[in-house]
Amino acid sequence: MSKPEGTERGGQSNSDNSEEKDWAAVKAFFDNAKTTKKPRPPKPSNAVTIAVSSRTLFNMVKERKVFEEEGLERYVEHQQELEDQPFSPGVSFPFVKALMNVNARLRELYPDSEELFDIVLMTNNHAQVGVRLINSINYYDLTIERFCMTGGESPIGYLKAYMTNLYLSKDSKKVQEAIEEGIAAATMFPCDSENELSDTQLRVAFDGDAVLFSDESEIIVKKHGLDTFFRHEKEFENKPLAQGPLKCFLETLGKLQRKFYTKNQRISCPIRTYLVTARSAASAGARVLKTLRSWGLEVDEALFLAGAPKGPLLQKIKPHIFFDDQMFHIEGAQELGTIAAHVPYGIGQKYHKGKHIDTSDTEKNEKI
Amino acid sequence: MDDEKNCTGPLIIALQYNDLFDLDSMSASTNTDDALPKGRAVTFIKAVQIVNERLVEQKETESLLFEVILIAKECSEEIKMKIVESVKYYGLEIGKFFFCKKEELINTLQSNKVKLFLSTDRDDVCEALHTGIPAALLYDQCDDHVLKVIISGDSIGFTEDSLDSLSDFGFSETQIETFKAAKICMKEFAVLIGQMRRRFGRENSPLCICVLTAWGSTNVCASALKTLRGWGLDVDEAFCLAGAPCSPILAVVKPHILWDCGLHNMRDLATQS
Repeated sequence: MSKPEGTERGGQSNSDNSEEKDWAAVKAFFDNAKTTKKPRPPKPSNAVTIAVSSRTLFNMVKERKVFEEEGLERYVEHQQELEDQPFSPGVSFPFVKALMNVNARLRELYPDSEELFDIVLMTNNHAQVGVRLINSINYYDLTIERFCMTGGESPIGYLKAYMTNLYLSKDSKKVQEAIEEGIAAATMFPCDSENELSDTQLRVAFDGDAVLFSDESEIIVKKHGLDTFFRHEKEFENKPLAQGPLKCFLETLGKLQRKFYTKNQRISCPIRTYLVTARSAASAGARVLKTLRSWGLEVDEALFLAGAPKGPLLQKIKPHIFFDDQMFHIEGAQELGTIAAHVPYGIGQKYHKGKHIDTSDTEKNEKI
Repeated sequence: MDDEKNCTGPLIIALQYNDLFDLDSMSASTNTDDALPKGRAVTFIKAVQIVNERLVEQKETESLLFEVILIAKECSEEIKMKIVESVKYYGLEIGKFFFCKKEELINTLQSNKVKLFLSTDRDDVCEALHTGIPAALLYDQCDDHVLKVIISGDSIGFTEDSLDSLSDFGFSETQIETFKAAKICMKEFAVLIGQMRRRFGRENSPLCICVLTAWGSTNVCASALKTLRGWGLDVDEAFCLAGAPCSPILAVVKPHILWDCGLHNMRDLATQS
């Protein structure tokens, strides 16, 4: 399973053999350890690494208030006082549970494979909050074996060190930094009313332009209007669009899906992907499908809305996560109970000056 | 010494001169009047000096300060002079110099109540640990103004029983003994550095302590965090790798002091320079 470009392998090639030896010892260690009943974590270079922040995994709203009103010292003390009380689930929790379910199915079919999801807790929370986070992870029986608590430092360097395939955070500044470094990332928002999600199938929905594809076409819409856009798309129907920040993540999902297909499990495949785009099928849809085909990628369902709101459709799909670059669509999705994640990429960002992407978080967010 | 009381310093750290100066880079054509070329430990000492400055800023009569002593094995008179001169030249605050024979290293460390022996040589570190002297690896560091210490979460978080069972997985007796010895040695250092850390607030501290659990589960890491807290050391950063390669993470953290106890491959550390 190849890692996206731009992430470094780390370590030198001449120490690869010693690393292999090490890895064999780690495997033996985990397989034999009586203390852990959980399955052994995969080697990062083989796995699909999903990094989640502590505030997306758990609901830390009350604690954050303490941080904002009373400062860092009191916040850490407060967390320590409540150490044995697990947090309640946060906005990426259902997504993480769905990933774990896929892993369970993969292990059934391929017991020795390391092509699995590896969920890493990546937070710039202080290490002392770590005990409460670990207690909470145990409480919900989550398979999170790796974490980085950077005590206030930026996690971006660590994202690369862990060969991260997708990073989810509530802090849009960090998400933006990650995208600039070539790591797929999205900002998550709290969701008030949540739809009932499938617990047997991971469902991921993607917007097209500026998420899977580059924002080249959106630039045309914004600058020259819809008619020019339609003409342009028809003219360049056979020219593939350039890649967007989440293309590689869709690719890794596709690779895992194929592992089920080869074992005749297409119908009951525990991963399903959706393209939910404002494009219309007739005038601008062909280019999108042809681009995906040229990349060797598939989505299970491609839904062309021709400008209709995405909220109601998403409500029917019930994805564990929906990626879009425009806040307008994120809000529309949230209003009808869908967990939405904003991808701060491309020209769509400049057209939302009036809408704050939770900027109050970015300034005070340095320590947690 | 009674490490439960709020102790008085200094926190003595011993270095060897071949880590302080890079003798390998000297050639025959090097001008003998120049100071010796800088080695890895110079940036470490500068970072230590900044911590000391900040401690004294807060309290003029602070006694819990770092003190660095330099050990030189088997030196000619000429080199001895150059060492003393070069130390002065670079403005390094070195408390004492010890010129001794190779076999006298351990004795020198013990008789000077060294709280930490730092070396880039893994064998020296292991030997010291086995004789009960706290020892750690002097890692490659960047020119930051924060002194970074990494403590092994595996060493602190694992229990006695699980340590013994490691022999089933291919670890030699020596490695396991090193591991156990390190845990005992680490406590005294941890208590002192914990007190020092508490002189500063959580933000803007010139001293940063991290826990790295390379092999153990998250529970081992949680156990390490709680144990260290019990010793008075509130760690700033924590990493749990569950077997993932260490070097990429270390390349980001860039510690000065790495309490590695041999449970993960030190070979890939040695190739970092």
